[in-house]
Amino acid sequence: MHIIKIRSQFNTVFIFIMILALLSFLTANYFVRNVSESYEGIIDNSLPIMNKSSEVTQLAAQIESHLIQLHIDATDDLNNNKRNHIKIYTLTKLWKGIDSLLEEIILSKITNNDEILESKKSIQTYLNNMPQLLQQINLLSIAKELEQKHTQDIELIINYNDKILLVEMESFWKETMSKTSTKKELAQLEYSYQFYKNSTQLLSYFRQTFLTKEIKTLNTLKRNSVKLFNQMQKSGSLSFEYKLFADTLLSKAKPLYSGEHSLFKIRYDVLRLTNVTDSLIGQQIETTKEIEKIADSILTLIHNFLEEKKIKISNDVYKANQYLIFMIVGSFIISFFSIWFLVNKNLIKRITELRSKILELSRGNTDVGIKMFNKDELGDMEKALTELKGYVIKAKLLSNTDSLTGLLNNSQFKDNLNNEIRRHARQNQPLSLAIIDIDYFKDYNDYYGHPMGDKCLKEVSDLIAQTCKRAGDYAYRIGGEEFAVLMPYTTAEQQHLKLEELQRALQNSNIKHEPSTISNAVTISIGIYGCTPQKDTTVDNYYKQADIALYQAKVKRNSIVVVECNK
Amino acid sequence: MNYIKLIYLKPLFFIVIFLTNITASFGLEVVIPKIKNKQAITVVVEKGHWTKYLKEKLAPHFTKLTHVPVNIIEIPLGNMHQLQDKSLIDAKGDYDVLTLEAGWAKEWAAKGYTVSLNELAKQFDPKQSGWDNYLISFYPSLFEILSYQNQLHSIPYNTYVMANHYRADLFNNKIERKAFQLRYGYKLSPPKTLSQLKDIAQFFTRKKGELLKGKELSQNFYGVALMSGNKPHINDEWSAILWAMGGVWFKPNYKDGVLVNFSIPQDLKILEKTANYYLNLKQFAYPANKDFAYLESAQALASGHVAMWPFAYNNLWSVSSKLNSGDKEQSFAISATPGGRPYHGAYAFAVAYDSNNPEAAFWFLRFMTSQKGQAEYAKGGGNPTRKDVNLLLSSKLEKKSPQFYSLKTTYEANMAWNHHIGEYGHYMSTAMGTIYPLLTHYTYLISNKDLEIEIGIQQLLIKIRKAQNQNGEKAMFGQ
Repeated sequence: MHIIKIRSQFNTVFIFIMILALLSFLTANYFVRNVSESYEGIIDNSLPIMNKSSEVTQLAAQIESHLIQLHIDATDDLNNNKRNHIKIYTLTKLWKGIDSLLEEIILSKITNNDEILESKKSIQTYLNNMPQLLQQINLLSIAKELEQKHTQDIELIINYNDKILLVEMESFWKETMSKTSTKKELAQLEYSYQFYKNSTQLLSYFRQTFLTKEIKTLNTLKRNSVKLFNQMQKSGSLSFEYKLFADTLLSKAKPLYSGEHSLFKIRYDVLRLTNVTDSLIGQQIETTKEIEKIADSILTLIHNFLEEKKIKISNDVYKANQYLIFMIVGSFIISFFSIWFLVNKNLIKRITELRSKILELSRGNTDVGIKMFNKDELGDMEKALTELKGYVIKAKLLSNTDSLTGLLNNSQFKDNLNNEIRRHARQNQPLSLAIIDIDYFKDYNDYYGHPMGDKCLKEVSDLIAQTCKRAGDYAYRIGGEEFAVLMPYTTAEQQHLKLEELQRALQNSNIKHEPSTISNAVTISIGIYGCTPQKDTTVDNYYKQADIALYQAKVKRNSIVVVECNK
Repeated sequence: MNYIKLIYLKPLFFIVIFLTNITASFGLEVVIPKIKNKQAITVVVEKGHWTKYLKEKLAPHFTKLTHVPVNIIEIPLGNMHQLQDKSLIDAKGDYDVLTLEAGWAKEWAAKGYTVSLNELAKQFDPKQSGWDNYLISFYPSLFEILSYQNQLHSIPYNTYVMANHYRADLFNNKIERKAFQLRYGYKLSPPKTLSQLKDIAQFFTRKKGELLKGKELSQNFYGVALMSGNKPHINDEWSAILWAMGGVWFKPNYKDGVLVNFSIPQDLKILEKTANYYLNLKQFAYPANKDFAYLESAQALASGHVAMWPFAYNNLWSVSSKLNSGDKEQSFAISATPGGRPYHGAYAFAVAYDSNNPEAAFWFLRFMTSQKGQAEYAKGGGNPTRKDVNLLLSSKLEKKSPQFYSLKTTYEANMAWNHHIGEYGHYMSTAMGTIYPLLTHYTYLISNKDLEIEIGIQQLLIKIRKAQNQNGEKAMFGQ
C-alpha cells in the first residue's frame, strides 16, 4: 500500500502555492506587457501620421503664403517672368511634397480617404496646370507692363495738353483780346478752348480707365472716349493754326484708344486676367485650406482615437486589475484552504483527536472510535492506537471479569449496580438484583477437590451467563461460590421467573454433588431484590436487601426468595 | 379622359400664344421717334436673299421715315467676323449696325464692341415705347445667348437651330416599314433618340444594286449626311450629340445666380461616348471630304443620296427640301433632332460702340427686326427669330410644306431651350471665339481618326481650359 507522507503533502501544497503565486505573477506580467504593447502599437501607428499631418499643415500654410504672395505680386506689382518662374517652381515642389505626404496618409488607412483623394486629384490638376498658371501670370504681367506704358504715354499727352495746347490757347486768347479780332480768329479761339476742354476730358477718361474695376464702366469709358475723339477729330477748320497742335494731340492719343493694344483692351485684359488669376490662385488657396482642414481632422481623429484607446486601455487595466485581485485572492484562499485542509484537518484536527482518544483510552474508556483517515504518518498512529485500544479493552476486560468463570467480577458489579441504581432512579424504572449461592460448595470442594470445584463453578457460571442473554442483563461472580445477576427494567417477579429457568437448567445439567444434603446434584439458592430505586438508594442498601433474600433462601437451600421494596 | 383633355389643350395653348403675340406685335409695331442725328448709318448684313429686300424696301422706308440714309454692306458669312473685328479694334467707326453670330455675341459685348441695347433703349426711347413688347416677341433662349451681364447686346434675326431633315417617302414606304419592323422590332419613324438614329441610319445604308423601296439602287445609298468636314459645323453636330447624352464641353458654375467660373467635366466618359457614337454613325454617312459641311449635306439629301440629315440647320430647309433625286415619290419632312438638344444659335444685329450714329443704328436695328422685317425675311426662306412671325407664317402655310415643318420644329426647339442656356458653358463663355475653333479642330481630327478618342478629348479639354483662362473673363477649373 502506497503511503503519502505528510512531508510530501506539505511539499505538494507548497509547490501548488508557489505555482499559484507564479501564475498570478505571470498573469500580471502578461497584462502589463499587453497594455504596454498596445500603447506602443498605438504610438507607433499614430505618431508618424500625426507628424505627417503636421507636416501637411505646415506645407499647406507655406503654399498658402506663397500663393498669397504670388497673387499680390501678380496683381499689384510689376513682376518679371524669371521671378514668376521661381515662384511657380517653389509651388510645384511644395505641392509635390504635400501630394507625397497625403499618399502616405492614404496608405495608413487611418481616415476616410475620399476627401484626401479629392484633394490629391486637385493637386494633380494644379501640378499639370502650373505651366499654364505661369503663362497666365506672365500674360497678366505683360498686360500690366503695357498698362504702365500707357500710363506713361498718357502722362506725356497730359504734359503736351498742359504745356502746348493750354499755352497755345492762352496765347491765342491774349493775342485775340489784345486787338480787334476777326471772326476767324474768334472762331479759332473758341475752337481752341473747346478742343482743350475736350482733350482734358478725353485724358480724364483715359485716366479713369486705369482706375475702373468694372468691365461695364470700362466699356462706357471706351464709348465715351471714341465718341469724344471722333467729335474732336471732326471739329475745327484746317485753316486754324491751332488745328496743328490739336491734330498732334489726337495722333498721340489715337494709339491709346484704338488698336490691339488700346488702353481699353489692355485694361480689359488686366481686369479679366486678374479675375481669372485670382480665381486660379484662389482655388489653390481654397485647396490648401481644405487640406489644412483634412490634416486637422486627422489630428482630431488620432486624438480621439488615442482618447478612446486610453479609455479602453484603462478599462482593460481595470479589468486586468480585477482579474489579478481575484486571482490573488483566489490563490490566497486556495492556499489558505490547502494549508488549512492539510494542517488543520489533516494534522491538527487529527492530532487533537488522536490526543483526546489517547487520553480517553488512557482513562480506560474503550468506547472511543478510532478511524484511520489517511495512509500517512498519523494514519499509522491511528492504526497503532486502534491496536492499543484492543489491548486496553482486553486489559480492562481482564480487570473486570473473573478469570475462572469469565463473568464480571465484584468490582465491576458494584460499579454497575451503582450506575444502574442512578439510572433507574432517574428513569423511575424497576431494577432487580439476584444473589446466587451454590449450596454446600465448601463440601463440594472438600469432597471433589479444588479443580473440580473450579469446574463446577465454571459450569454454573456458564448456565448463569446463558440465563442472562437479554441485552443489559449482566452476571457477576461476587464471591467464592456467590454470583449476582442484575436485570435492568425488570421486576423481582420477572427475574424470579427467569431464575427458575436457571434452576431447572442446573437441575438438568445434573452436576454430581455427593456431599450435598439436599440433593445428589449441585443446587443453588437465590435471593432476589426488586425495586424501583430512589435518589437516595445506595448500593449497599440494595445489595443488603438482596443478601437478606439470599440468606432466607439459604435457610431452605435450592430455593428462591424474593424481596420487593414496594410490597 | 386626361389624354383627351391634353389633345384639346395643346392647340388651345398655341392659339393663345399666337393671338397674344399677334396682338402685341401688331398693336405696338415700331414707332420711330424723331431722330436728331441725321448722319448716315452703315449696316453690315449677311449676303443673301434678304439683302435685296433690305436695300430696296426696308432701308429706303427707314430713310423716308427718319431722314437718315442707310448704307447696306453685304458681306459673305465667312468674312463677316474678320472685317468687322478689324474695324472695331481700330475704332474706325466703319459700321453702325453689326451682324454677328451668336457665338461671338458675349465676347464682343465683353470687349465693348457692341452696346447694351437696354442702355440704348433707355437713352433713345425714354418712354420705352413698345420695347418690352418688342422683346417679348422673340425666343427667350436666344436672348439668353445674346446677353452679357444681364444686358441684351444683340437682336437675333436668323435662328439656325437644328432639326432632322429627312426623306418622308422612305419613312412612309410600306416595304421599308415592314423590313425595319422585322429587323429592329419597332416601327419605322423619324428618330427621337440617338439609339434610334443609329438603327435607322444603319437600316437605310445600302450598296449599289440593293433595293430601296423595292427598286434597285443605281448607286450607294446612305442613312445619314453628316457635316463631318473640317468646318465649324462638325462641332455643332458633336455638341447636339453630347448634350443629348447629358454631357457638356464645360460647365458654368454659379453662386447666388452669378456666374463665377467654369469647370471641365471630371468624368470624360460621356465625351468619349459621344466620340464613339459619332464615329459609329459616320459608317452610315454619305462620304465626306474635308470641305463637306451644311450645303453639301443639304444637297446630299435633296439629291436622294441619304435618308436623313439629322443635325440639319433648320434655316437651310429651302436647300435640303429640293427634290432633285429624280424619284417622283421623293418627299421632304422635318422632325426634331434626335436626343432633343439641337445645336442652337442665331445670327444677330448689334449696334457698334464706335457708331457715329447709335441712335439711328438702334432704331434701324429695331426696324429690321420688327414683325414686318422678320416676316419679309422669312418669306425669302429665312428662319425668323420672332415667335409671332413664326406662328403667323405657320398659320398661312400648307401643313406639309417644308417651311411649315421648319417653322414648327424651330419653334419647338427654341422653346425647349428656354431656361437651359445657362447650363451650358458653350453659351456662357466670353472666350468662345477662341474655344469654338478648338472644338472644330479636335472634333474633326477625332472623327477623321487622326487622333485617338481619349487623347483627342484630353488635349481638347486642356486647350479649352487654356483658351478660357487666357481669353475669358472667368476662370476654368479641372483637368
